[in-house]
Amino acid sequence: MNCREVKKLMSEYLDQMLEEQKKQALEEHLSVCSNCRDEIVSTQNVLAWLQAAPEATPPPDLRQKVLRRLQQERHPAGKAGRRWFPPAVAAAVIFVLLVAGNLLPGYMAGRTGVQRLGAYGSATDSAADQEATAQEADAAPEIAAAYDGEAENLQPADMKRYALLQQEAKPPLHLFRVLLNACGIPLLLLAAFWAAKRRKESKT
Amino acid sequence: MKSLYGDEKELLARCRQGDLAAYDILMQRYEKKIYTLCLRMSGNSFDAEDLTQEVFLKAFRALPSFHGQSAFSTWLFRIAANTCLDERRRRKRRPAVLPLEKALPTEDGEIRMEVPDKTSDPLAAALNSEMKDEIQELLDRLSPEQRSVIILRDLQGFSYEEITRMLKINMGTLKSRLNRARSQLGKLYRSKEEQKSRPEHLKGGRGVET
Repeated sequence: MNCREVKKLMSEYLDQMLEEQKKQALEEHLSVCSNCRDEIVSTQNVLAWLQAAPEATPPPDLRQKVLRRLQQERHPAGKAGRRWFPPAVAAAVIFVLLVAGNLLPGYMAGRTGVQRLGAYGSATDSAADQEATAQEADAAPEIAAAYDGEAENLQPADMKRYALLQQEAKPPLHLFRVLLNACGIPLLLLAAFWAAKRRKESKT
Repeated sequence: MKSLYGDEKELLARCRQGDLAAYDILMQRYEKKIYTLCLRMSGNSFDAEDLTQEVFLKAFRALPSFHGQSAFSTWLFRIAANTCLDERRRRKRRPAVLPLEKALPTEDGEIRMEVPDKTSDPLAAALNSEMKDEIQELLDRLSPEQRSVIILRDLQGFSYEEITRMLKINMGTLKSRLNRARSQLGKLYRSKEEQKSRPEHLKGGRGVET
């Protein structure tokens, strides 16, 4: 065996993969050729040195990062598309509450006022009572007109109603509305702005 | 070992159904080896982290096409080796943006860019020494192809058959590549040792006058 052949078989020799015959021929050559012997020994040394090297430690959050990306891939539109959804819902809810808070108490106060006044009337059996309520509901515009102005032209009975309405509904309602709007409108703007911002982010 | 493989089959089946918890267990099992491979191939921990993530993402996406023709580890390491080699090829095609040390000639004369000297920055020096240990210095001087066979065979201990399957090369190519890589490493190692043991007065140009 010559030096070139030895070089060709060196790796297999080091990995103990040579058949016996070739191995003996190679070792025979090594016993007479110091060049090849040196090369094999230094290669053996460097490999032992490599094999002794510790494994590197990956960053602790590596797997988390992979899992997060796989999760995102699974819901491609999901994560990006739905991010603006919660603030948008919040804005819508605040808007509905604002509208309801501004309109409903006035309407309800109007109704309860009418009903209470209606109770002063004659109807006592339930059927008649229902009819009376319906009639009083029809009378609501009249009361509203009275509420709005021309207080001086009112009949004594209407005056009584008007006073009652004013006393019962107006002062607390007014305060309530101011508070509601003072809190609600900034909140609504904030939520709407937030939703718009997230939407913009998800598009880019 | 056998029970580990049986358990691995079950994990793989769960992964194919999209079970990320199962994939986390698989990743945990291989992350050290894959990260070490990427670190040794790229030579720095920043690229190694990116490459390792890339490998695990690719593997999960490709899982439906893996039917157990080979061991899962062989398959996974093939993805890893190819990812690292591809990355190197990509880098070669897109080399550094601008040689900063070079003066830029303009109409108003030359513009010289001030580059901070990295060797005088203690933090950079510390980072450098952490990333570039002696083994890496030697590995960096091999070609990527040679480096990959050394890493797979001598750092990670795969059999010749497994490596031929990972790198999709034939046995003859692997043997000659491994031979050349190892004798190259041996030479580098010898010259490094010689430099270390050389007496102080022979190093550099500073002779000691007596």
